[in-house]
Amino acid sequence: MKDNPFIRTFLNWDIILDSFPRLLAEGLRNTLLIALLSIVLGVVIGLVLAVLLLSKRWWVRLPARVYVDVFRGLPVVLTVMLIGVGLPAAGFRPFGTAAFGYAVLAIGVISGAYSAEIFRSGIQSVDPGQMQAARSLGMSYFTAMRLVVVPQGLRRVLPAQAGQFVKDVKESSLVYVLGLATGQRELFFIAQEEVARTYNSSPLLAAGLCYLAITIPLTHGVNWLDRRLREGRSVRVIPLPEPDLDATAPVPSTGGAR
Amino acid sequence: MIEIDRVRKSFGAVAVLRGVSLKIDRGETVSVIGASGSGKSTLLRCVNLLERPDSGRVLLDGVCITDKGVDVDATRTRIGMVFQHFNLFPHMSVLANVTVGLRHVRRLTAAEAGEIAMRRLETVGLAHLAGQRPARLSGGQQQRVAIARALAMEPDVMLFDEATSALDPELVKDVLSIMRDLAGSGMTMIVVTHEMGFAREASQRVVFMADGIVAESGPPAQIFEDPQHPRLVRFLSQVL
Repeated sequence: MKDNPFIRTFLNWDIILDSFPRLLAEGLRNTLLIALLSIVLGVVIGLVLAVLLLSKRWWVRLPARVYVDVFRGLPVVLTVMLIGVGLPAAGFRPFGTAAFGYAVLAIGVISGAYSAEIFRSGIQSVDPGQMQAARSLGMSYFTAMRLVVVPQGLRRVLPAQAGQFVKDVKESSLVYVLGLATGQRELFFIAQEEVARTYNSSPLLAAGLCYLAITIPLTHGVNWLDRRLREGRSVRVIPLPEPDLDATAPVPSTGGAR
Repeated sequence: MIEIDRVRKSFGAVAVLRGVSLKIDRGETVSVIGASGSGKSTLLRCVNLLERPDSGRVLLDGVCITDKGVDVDATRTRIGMVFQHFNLFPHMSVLANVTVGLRHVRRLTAAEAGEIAMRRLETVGLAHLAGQRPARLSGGQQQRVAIARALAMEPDVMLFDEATSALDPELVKDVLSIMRDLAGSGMTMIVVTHEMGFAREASQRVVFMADGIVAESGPPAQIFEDPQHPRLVRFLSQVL
């Protein structure tokens, strides 16, 4: 078995076991950190852009539209280079010379473009009657958006957004093109170094397992949340007793004729 | 109290309101009847500014609310609206549906808002469902919550846009009886309705709209017993 070139290349247990401590201690932590910060940044950017995209005024929509089209249209690795190498070279160094901050910025900026479209479609799918009801109570457009429309819209796009989160986790690997200092290396970067050191591809497989350990629970966690929110709304099958009306049968629930 | 003055409104090439004038006194309940597409709902939506009239004015207590520069949000807090499809907020509890306007528009504390909301829910007989999600309620119950939600803002006027049209027949009477009580309590109401019984018994005046104009109006007895306009005669023969 040990002589099988396939197994020797990808499943060298000694090398896998040797690389795991570094992958877990440093790589997994940094991947999670880059991914989490990028996701937060992406959600914030996405929400702002989605609201701008829904504006009635074209000059409010236009910059958001351009942003979304540009950052969805560029290769991720190109954007990472533009932000991670280009910005510091141009003298814009909010994160000094460490690649980590630029990596988060790049992945978050791209994530925001995708999230904007996801959020926009969710918000647009909310019944216009919700906005009208909120406005007729005297809420401003933004208060109605914040309290009534956006929360409902976001819930509907949770599964799509889970896909975006998974993408963010995977794309965090692209920061390797920026070169990371010791202590800031993420999964893929460490795996690459191990491959170079051992002339064996097994560390890539080990890193892959680490990615799956993040992405698969992430997908199912969000789907579980989605199911729970849905079921929270659909227990309506139990008709509620109507008190002190005449002795008619329990009122069947119509659940709204929307 | 409300004066609608030669209001016109078109959607594209379709003229929905072609110069509607109407005065509603304080404490009066006016029913607006007419076939689908006659402009009833659009008229109502012009009163609380969900639609902007193309021309003409709407006055509330003598103040023109259709002028530019009028605080639309503040104006709407004085005008309660009940929709055909209830439009409760499905992600909030029944109680939160009623308190949300009090808290985020009237800026009351949670405790104050909760107290007012519970009183209003008692008025519509649903205080015991305060903790439920709207989806668990029947259509009639949902509409009663929607009425409580509008009343909680203590509006000067209540607008009802076919409030019972989406309800199963057996649920209609609960909602109508609440609307009757409200009319009896002296609330100023404009009620767009297909419920001729309500129009006849609970309103002081009935307005018949056809093709975007007020074709005929008068006390219910006159409208129902002695209709003049041929369109009204035909309409009544179809719905009664």
